Amino acid sequence: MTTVRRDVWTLGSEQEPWDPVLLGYARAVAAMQQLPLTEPRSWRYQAAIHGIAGASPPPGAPWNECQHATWYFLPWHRMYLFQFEQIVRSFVPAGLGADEWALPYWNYSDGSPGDALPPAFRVETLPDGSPNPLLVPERRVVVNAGKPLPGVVTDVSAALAEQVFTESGFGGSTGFGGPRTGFAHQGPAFGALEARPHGPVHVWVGGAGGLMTDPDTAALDPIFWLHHANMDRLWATWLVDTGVNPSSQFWLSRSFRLRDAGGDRVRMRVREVLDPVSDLNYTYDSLPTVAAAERVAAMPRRRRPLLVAAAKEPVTVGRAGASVEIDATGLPEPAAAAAGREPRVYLNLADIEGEANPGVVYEVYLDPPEDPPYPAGAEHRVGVVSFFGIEQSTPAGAAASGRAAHGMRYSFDVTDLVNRLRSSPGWDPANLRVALRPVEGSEEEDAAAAGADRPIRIGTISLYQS
Amino acid sequence: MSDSLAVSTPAGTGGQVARWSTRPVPGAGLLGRWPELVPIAATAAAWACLALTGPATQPGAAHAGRAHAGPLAALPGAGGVVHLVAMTVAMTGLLAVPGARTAVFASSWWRRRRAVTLFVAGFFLAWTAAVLGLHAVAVALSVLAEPAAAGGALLAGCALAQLHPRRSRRAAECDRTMRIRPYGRSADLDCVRFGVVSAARCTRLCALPMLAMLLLPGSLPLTAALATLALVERVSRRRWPVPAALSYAALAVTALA
Repeated sequence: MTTVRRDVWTLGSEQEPWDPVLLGYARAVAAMQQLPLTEPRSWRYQAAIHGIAGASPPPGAPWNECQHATWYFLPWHRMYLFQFEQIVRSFVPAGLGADEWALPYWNYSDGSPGDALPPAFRVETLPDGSPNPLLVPERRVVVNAGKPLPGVVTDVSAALAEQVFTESGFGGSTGFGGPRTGFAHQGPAFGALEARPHGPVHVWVGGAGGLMTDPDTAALDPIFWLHHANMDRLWATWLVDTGVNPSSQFWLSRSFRLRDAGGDRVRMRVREVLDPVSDLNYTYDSLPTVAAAERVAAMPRRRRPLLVAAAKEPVTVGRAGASVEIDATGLPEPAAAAAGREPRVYLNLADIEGEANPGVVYEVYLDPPEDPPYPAGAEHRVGVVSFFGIEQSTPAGAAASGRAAHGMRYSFDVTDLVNRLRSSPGWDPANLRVALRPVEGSEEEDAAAAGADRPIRIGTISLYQS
Repeated sequence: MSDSLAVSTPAGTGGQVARWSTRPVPGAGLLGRWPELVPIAATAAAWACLALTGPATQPGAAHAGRAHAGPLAALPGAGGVVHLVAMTVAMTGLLAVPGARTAVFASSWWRRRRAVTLFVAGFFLAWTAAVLGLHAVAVALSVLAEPAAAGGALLAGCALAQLHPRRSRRAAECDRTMRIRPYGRSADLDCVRFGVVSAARCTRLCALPMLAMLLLPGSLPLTAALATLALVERVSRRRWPVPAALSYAALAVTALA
C-alpha cells in the first residue's frame, strides 16, 4: 500500500490542532523518548544517527552519519526519513491509523498560514492534558509563538531554478543537490536546496542555542522530520518539473548504514530510493501527476571558473553582520559581442569557519546602499547564509563527532545584479561592497545565548567568472 | 562561434542589453585552466625515469646492499637521491591533483600558473623530505631484520591499517582545503604551505607502504601496485576497504614468500 505524506497545515488548525496523524506522531514521539539512548528505536538514538557530539557510539551504531554539503544530502535524508517513518509507525496507537500513518511535511514556502510553525508543535498539552512532546522550548521564541518565518528564509525559487543536480561549486553553481563528494558528514559546499531553504529554516527555527540550529541536536526537535519531508518533496517536485538525477555509478551505488523498524541493521543504496512510490511505497499529496519528460541523465560539463576579484582580508561576522570591500576592477568589461554562451559571475564566500552557530540568518548584499536597513535592499540582495553545520568546520568541532573538518562555502549567481549595477551611475568596481546583515527578527534572540560571542570567520570573499 | 551571449534585459537599463566579455583571460593559459597537468606530467616523467633506470638501481635494492656499512649508509648517494625523488614523485604525484586544482581555483586568474607551480613544489618537497626520513628508518630496520621480512610485515600492517576505524577520518582530512590569500607574497606562501600541509596529511596515510617499499627489493610492479592502491583509496574515498586490505595482504604474502 502506498502511503501519502500530507501537508501538515491540512491536518489541523489553530482551533483544532490534533488530527489523528499528528496525535499519533505525538504519542509515538513520547514513547520513543522513554527508551534509552542505546536502543536503536529510541528518539535519541535516531537523532544520533543524524549527529551527536561528545558521545561514543555503541559498537556498530551508525551515529554521525548525516550527509551535508554533498550530493548525498538528498538520498541520505530520504533513507533516514523512510526508516524513521517505519519506526514511528510501529509506535503509533492502532486507533490512530497506524497502518496508514505517514510523516507529514511542512511546506513553509507558500505563504500564510503554512509559513508559521504548525499549531500542534506549539500547544502545551495533548487533548488528554498530558505534556505535548512536539513542543520544544529550545526554539526561537517567535517561532514557538506562531510568527511566520520570513520569506527570505523559506524562498525555494533559486533552488528550483537550478538545471542540474550536481556541480563542483568552486566559484560557481553547486547544482540542485550538491557537489560530488565521498561520504561527507559535512562536505565542502551546499547544494542550492540545502543552501536555501534547508539551512536557513534550521537556524531560524532553532535560533541561538536551539536544537534545530546544530546538526548534532537538530533531529531531537520533532519538527526536524517534517522539515526534511518537505526537502524530500521538493526533490521529487524538481525531478518532475526541471531536472534529472545523476547517472554516476559512484552516486547510485553508494550505501549507508541505518536501523530499520525492528531496530536491526540495514544498508540502503542510493539507487534503491530514487522512486518514492515504487521503491519505498509513499508519495506526497501535492506532487504533480504528470510524468516527467524523458531527459538525458548526464553529468554536467566541468566548468573552469576564474577568480577575478577578492577581498584582501578575512571577514569576521558577528551578530550584527559584517561588511567588506572588494576591488573588482579585474572584472571583464561588458562587450558588445555577438551571441554565444553567456559567462556567469558568482559571489563566493569560502573558507568559512566557526565554533558555534550564532543562530542568525544573514542576508548577503552586493554593493548595497550605505546605511542599513537598505530600503532598496531586495534589489541588492543575492541570497542568505545560515552557516548550518558550522560546528563541523573546525578540527575540534569535527572531532567531537568523529569526523574530519572542512571549511564551508557558499556561492551565489550575481550575473544579473552585476549587469544592473554596471548600468547605474554609482558603479564603482574599485570599491564593491559585500555586506552580511541579519534577517529582520534575528535580533530578538538573547545575545548571551550559545554561540553569540563566537563569531563566524569568512576566509575568502571573492568574485568568479564562469 | 563567439562565446558571448546577450543576457536578459536588466531592469533600469532602458532596454539596453548588457553583455559580458569572454575574451580569453590573459595569463591563465593551459596550466591555469588545467592545473592537473602539472602533477600528471611530473608523475609521467618520474615513471619514465624509473623505467629507464631499471629495477637494479631501485632505492630498495641500493640501500639493502649497504645496510651493514654503518650510519652513513642511511644517507643515499646522489644517484640514490635522484631515484628516491623519482620514486616519490611517481608514487605520490597523482595524489597532488585535487590540491593543485584547489590551489589554482582559489587563486586570482593572473596567478594561476604560479599557484600550481608553488603548490606542487611544496607538495613534492615535503614528500621528498619525508621519504628521506623513511629511507633512514628503512636502513636502520634492515640492520635489525631481514629487509624482505620487514617489508612484508609492514605490508601486512598496511592491510590491517585499511580496516582501522579512524582511517576514514584521516582520509577525509586529505581533502581539507586551506585559505589562500588573493595577492602578493603572502599568496605565494599560502600555496607552498598548502602543498606542504597536503603532503603531510598524505604522509599519515601512505608512510607505511612507502617504508615497506624502501625495504623490499626494487621492483617497478611493486611500486606501481602500491601507487595504484593509494590512488584508488583516495579517488574512491575509501569505498572498498576490504578489497584494499586483501590487496595489501596479497602483496605481503608475495614479499614474504
